[in-house]
Amino acid sequence: MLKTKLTFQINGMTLIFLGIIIALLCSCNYSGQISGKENQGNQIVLIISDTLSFDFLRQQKASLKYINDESLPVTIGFFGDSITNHWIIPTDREMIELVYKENSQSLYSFLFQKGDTLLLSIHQRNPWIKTINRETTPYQDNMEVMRNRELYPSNYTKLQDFYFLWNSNVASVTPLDLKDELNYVKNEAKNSLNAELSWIDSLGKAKLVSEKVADFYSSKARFELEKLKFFDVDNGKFDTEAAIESILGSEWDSPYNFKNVYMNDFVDFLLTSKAPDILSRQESVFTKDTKTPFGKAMLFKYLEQSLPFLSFAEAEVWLNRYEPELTNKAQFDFLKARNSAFIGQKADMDLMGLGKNLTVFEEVLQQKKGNYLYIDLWAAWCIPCIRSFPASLALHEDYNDLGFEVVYLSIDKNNKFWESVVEKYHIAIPNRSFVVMNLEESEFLNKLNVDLIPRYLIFDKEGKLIHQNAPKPDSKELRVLLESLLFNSN
Amino acid sequence: MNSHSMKYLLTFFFSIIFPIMLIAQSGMDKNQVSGIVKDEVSVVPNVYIFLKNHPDFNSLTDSKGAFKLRFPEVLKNDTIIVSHVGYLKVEIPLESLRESSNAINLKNRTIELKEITVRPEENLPVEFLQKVIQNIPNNYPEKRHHMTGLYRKVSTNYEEFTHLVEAQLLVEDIAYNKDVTGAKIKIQNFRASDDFAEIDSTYLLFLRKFRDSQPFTGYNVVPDNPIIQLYENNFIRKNYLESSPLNVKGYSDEFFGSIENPVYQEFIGYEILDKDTIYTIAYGTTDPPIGTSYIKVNSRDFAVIEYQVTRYMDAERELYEQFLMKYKKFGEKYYPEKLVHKVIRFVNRDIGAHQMDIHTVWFDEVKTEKLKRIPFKETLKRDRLLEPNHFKYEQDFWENNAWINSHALDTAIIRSLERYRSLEEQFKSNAKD
Repeated sequence: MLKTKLTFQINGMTLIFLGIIIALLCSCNYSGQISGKENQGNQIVLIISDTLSFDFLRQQKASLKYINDESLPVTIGFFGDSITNHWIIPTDREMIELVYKENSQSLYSFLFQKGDTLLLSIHQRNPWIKTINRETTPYQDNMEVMRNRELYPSNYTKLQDFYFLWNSNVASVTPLDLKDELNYVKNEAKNSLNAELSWIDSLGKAKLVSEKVADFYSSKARFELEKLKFFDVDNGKFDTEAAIESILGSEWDSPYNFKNVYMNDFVDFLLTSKAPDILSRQESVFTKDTKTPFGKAMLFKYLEQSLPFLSFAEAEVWLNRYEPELTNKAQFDFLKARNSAFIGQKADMDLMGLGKNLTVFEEVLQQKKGNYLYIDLWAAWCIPCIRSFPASLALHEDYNDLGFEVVYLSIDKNNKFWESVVEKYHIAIPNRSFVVMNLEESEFLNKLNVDLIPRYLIFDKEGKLIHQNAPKPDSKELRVLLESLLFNSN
Repeated sequence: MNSHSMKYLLTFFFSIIFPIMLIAQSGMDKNQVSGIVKDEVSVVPNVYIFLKNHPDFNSLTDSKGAFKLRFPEVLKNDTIIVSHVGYLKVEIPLESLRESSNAINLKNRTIELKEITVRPEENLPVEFLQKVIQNIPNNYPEKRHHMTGLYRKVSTNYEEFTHLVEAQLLVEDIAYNKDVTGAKIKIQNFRASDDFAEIDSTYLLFLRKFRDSQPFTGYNVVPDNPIIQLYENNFIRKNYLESSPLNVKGYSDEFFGSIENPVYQEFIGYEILDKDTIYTIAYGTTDPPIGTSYIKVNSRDFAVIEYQVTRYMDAERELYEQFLMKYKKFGEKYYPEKLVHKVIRFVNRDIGAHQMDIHTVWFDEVKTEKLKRIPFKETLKRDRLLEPNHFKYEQDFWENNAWINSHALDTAIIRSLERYRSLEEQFKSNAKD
């Protein structure tokens, strides 16, 4: 899908003044909100030092990620239309980890104290942060940038090299045989992590970094060493179960640690390392133990990932069931808000049917009131979509008598092409085949985010969306789901 | 807001941030311009913007007419050309533009059809292009010939230039209807600068593995040697292949597309050259075409005079590969005069870093008689990358050579490459002893 970006470019001087004005306004509002407290205490302020650095950050699609006090990940993106040059990170924690990412790769982790004011600039195409309201050393502020400079000849560490090759090999659609290289790089990564540990130790002894900073980075390096053990290069597998087993209850399984980005990213990685299973069907390795911080972190990510694949009602049931086991109410509220995102949202799609008949989706819903609708979102260039037509046509035949219809909505931009494909694959069915005319403008579609198709939706007899990611037409799950809906409602 | 924090903030900004920003401002390098392109009525999307003397640095306006053009800072004295189908071309020196918020106005151009003596078959580009394809055998060499050329590669990371390679080539080609792999290329002189690119050895290892893992499908695959690649990117030379955009069968997909992927074309103008009229037709997947892919044809003999193809790799049209071919008549036939291939330099896993290679060859001499064949062992091999240290550096050849001086390297590029040591020293140390 073609997305156009409007990038604001502002003359340097304007930016300075805008920056000052915005900074003044923001801090004004902010100090108002926290009523009377001296605002410098409970936050970290981040300022971009100059427009050249800002341009670099934009070009590299850079961002800073941290975990907020409520255990939810937050990303500060330096792309898009933002014209502010400073950001405020509210926190009650002593220390907070910020991770710098570029073009979606993690590059450097930074660790700062509550109350710090940071100046971010770009040196030699790398980020460089200076704490300006406290005496620090370059090591203290830019631990990992300094590490790369002193221990590695390139921008990438041996560990990143290992992950790069692993992803190009095991996790790739076109796997290459890189066993020898992977074994070699894995060994190098191990050695380099051990070297990092002694380096951190020596910095601590020389008082170039504080004890807390040294502890954080050595704990992180030891964690990476532990994690490496579970990459089985010879069999091309990551042992998810064993990794979970080893971290549960370990030194890293503490509430403090799970507010670090590297642990949060690790849980994300665990979820992608296993073929996703869906909540309602089986006990998952991610929900087995929800007592420790690590267990709770896995539960949250697991719910975040799998709830959208359930009907809203089912998701609600599972959400309520797991509520007491989540880390906090903020996580529950977050999941709940996502699950209710479509409440009150009109399905505002303008449609064109066969013979260039114009209508709107609301009108179609009105006409078909009393029937459950299975909406097949597809496009004429999408081969898997076309392959599934026989299954959805059969589905319609089987359940039509019970008050069920399959409706085809194409998201094609080329109407001629749509017309020819609809004919060719026998879905030129009057009043059941449409093409969406307001792809870019429809709020409903934007909310659905239909970048990936085929996608299936279910609307109930009242014309209300009840499932935003229904199972595929040829699946058993779909038939089980439909039968429970159709028989129970009669 | 309490006065304490107000005072703190003001002191803070004026004492720390303000001076830093001023310093950054005054010492700031200029390596991009941005703004909006409009006509009398509204903003104009898909306008092609490029540097006059370095058209390899180019950009397009987006759907809101906004553009951003990045170029190495050393080219800041160049001029930009703003060009679009149906409008008069605009030239603006970079110096007179601000870094951002520039507004550029386009004026409509009306083509007076009456003036055209020989018109392309009245809105029938199909027949016109068919004639072009049919006439390739008449217009291009069918006999063995030699060409002498200057090859140059410049690489950039859009801040500085990172690499330079120059070579004097001798090409021996047989005929345009024969397999291109029969053409022999010999390097007669070679020199290379140091390489300043951020090279990622793990990524290169992966690339090499990837290349080796591809099944061998004979010689139609893209050669690894960049000079051979450049020579073969002359699409007319390869028009016997169905995959070529100038093939009898393949041209239709390229210029007219299919129902799934329609291609639009537009006649954008003509110029008179001696007694001939040269027509320019732009084509592409947008309506109207954006003008980065076009073909210039002599209406008398239907010979292709110039052909540019731009292949976009992402929806934002930030990543692309570009080919440019220019042809000149020598005797009865047309021979390539200049070939350019601009391509992403895959040296780093962070492809967003936009490392670019610009390969150019200028052919100045064509010989069709009394040819001394190039011995096979002296020819470049398709599967061998160009490596320095394989060739001697002959300083005398490069100095005082009028022919090479007529394609002199831009002084801005020289300055950028000489940031650590002189090019002369670099050429010497990168050559075979």
